[in-house]
Amino acid sequence: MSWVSFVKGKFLVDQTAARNWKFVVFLAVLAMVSITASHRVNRRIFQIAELSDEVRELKAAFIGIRADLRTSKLEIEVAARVKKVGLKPPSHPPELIYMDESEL
Amino acid sequence: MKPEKTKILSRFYLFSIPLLCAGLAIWLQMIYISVFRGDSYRKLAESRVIRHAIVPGNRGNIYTEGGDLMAVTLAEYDIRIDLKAVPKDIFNRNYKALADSLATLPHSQPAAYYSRLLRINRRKGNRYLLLKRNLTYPDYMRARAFPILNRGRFKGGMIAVRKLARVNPMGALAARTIGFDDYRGHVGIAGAYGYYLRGRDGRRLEQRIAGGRWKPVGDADEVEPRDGADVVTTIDLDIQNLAHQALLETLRQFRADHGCVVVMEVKTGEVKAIVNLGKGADGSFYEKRNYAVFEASEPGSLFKLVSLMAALEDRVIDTTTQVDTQGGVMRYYDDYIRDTRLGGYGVISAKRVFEVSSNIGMAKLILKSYEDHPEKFVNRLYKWRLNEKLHLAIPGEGQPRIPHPNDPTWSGIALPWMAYGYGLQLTPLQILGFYNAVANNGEMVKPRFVKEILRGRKVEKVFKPEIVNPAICSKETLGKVQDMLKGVFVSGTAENLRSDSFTMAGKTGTVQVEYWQKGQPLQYRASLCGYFPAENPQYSCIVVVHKPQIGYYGAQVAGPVFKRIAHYCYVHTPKVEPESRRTGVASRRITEKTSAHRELAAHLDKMPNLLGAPGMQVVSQLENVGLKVTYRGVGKVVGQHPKAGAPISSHSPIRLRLQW
Repeated sequence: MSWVSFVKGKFLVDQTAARNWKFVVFLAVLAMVSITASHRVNRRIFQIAELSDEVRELKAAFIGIRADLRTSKLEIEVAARVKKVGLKPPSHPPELIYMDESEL
Repeated sequence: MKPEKTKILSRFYLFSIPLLCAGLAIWLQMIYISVFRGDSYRKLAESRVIRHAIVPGNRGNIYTEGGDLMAVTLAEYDIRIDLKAVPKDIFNRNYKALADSLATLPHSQPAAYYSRLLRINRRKGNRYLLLKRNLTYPDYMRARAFPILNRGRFKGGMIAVRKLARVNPMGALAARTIGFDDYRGHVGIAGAYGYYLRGRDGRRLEQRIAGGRWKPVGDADEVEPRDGADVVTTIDLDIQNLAHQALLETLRQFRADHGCVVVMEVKTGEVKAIVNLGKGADGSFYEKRNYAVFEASEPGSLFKLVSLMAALEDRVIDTTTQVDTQGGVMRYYDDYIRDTRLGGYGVISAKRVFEVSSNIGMAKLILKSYEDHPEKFVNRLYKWRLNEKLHLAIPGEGQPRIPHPNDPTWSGIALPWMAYGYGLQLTPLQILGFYNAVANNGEMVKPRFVKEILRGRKVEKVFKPEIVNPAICSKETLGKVQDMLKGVFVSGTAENLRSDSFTMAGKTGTVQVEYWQKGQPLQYRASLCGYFPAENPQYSCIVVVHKPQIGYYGAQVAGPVFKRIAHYCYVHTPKVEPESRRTGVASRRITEKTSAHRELAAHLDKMPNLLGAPGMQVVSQLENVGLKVTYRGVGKVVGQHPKAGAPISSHSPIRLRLQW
């Protein structure tokens, strides 16, 4: 098939046109799939960007809260809070007691 | 006709030739641009849609021994406002409320300041006014809900700029030792272990898509990013916090200039706490410099341990050697050596000299033994490597200085001066290292700040204790000095700190500082170095308080900090009582518990009466025999289901109501 007849679109109307049409439709579908995929990728990238922002923010919140928790768990802080209830830090260490199993 | 045609033709040429020339010129220019300058333009075009992006490798975290975060990289926010974007009525109605809200953020100016700032900049038409810098995420979320700002970007003009910042979640605790590694330099653990902490940035090809986003081209990155490893320090947050608070209170109480505390585990050399507080320009104290590591200064009486140990080890004196401390003042060459107590201590033993910290006694003992060959004394100190740095992992360690008789600066009084700790320089950590060796039965270990390096959850590297010197002296000398260090707390300068429940050993120091500056009142450095418990020591500790303005004795100023830490460590080390079974008390308690437990198990078919029983105990007991328990509240049992005596089986649910 010459170049001129291709431009004139003869392959769409001659006897073997049906076969060629199938191929044209196939190409069109392929193009559409490719375009859709590319759009989906873009959307996914926006999603990733949003999620990673969220991760960063949640991480910041988590660390802030964890630090607050750890601070309020410090013995001095706890002691200050339970003072009202009448509790105070121990003045003597706990005792570890070892026992034989038979005694249980 | 003919002239007519020529006329037309000539007109035609008149117009077409310039046009043709112009066209040709454009054509030539096009060819020139595309062939000769094409490369640079094509690159420029590409760079607008394609880039080599840096994929950052995250920096590792720094943890305490117990897994608490000490340094982490976090998102921080600067918030700005575009004042032209805010409609007039909204601005006028809300700007005061916004100013009030801004004043509630941490480290803020008063509301009036913000109100003025907003008004003035509104008039100027500022489109990028900075409201607040370095907000943490929770504060940023709060700021987003403030009046005006809550209208968002277009109506409220809110502009938030996110950036990554290095944050110490535990605030000031050990801040100087945790350090940083950025444009300011390499400081502390962050600086020293930067090699592990730093991530490696990756690279990948990206293509621009809509919305200013970039998408990666191809699947694989050209260079994979690698996150930095985490560093686990030896710091114990509770001891650190206690030492921090104790030192802070002391510095305030005695109006001192600066101070430091180091707590070290005797066996391993792990630094459990390191506090360095200095006075800032505004009079408040903060982790200013790492005094414990860098500040080499005269150790004063703390050095008497070293002098005496040298003499004992060389067998030139014994603990019973008698020495006359004269009347509290002794002239030597052109100098006077003085004791704290007016009138002196009379004739006392070497042990007593140490306990009461007599300068004259110490000077005389050392003079008697080494006056003729001072190099023997100094060489002993050199053998202990007291003239060398500890070569700590973190940078900035101070250089110790111990003069040698061959030095041109050596003078007649150098030796007696050295005996009680003047004319030489050591850092607090170097002194602590030596005391720790005495506590560790002669084995000298290097102070350490880092336990291990973690990559993800995998341990990449473990730092083991480093032994500097397996035995600094004989067992005999060791026993003697340990006994004397104990004596200081029994009947010596630290007698006031003695406790009935736990034992301590150590030495106080009260050093004159800047005594060479005439015309200013005498300044002191109060210190205490030692270990606890005196038998089987767990921790060694040094406390140094520089230039207290009220009081100056080591035992008075530094002592209480030392004792608080010792008490804390005593209370938090469980006592193993092999005798407990025979004393009866503990064993009876256990039999009571276990019999109640058995009883409960035996009567599993019927619900027992639990009213009034402590919830904490009952819940665990019921669960131990396999029952499912749900409860509300705390305290004692005030309601139960099923009722007492009702039949139950192992899968019948039990509900309890608890109340104090």
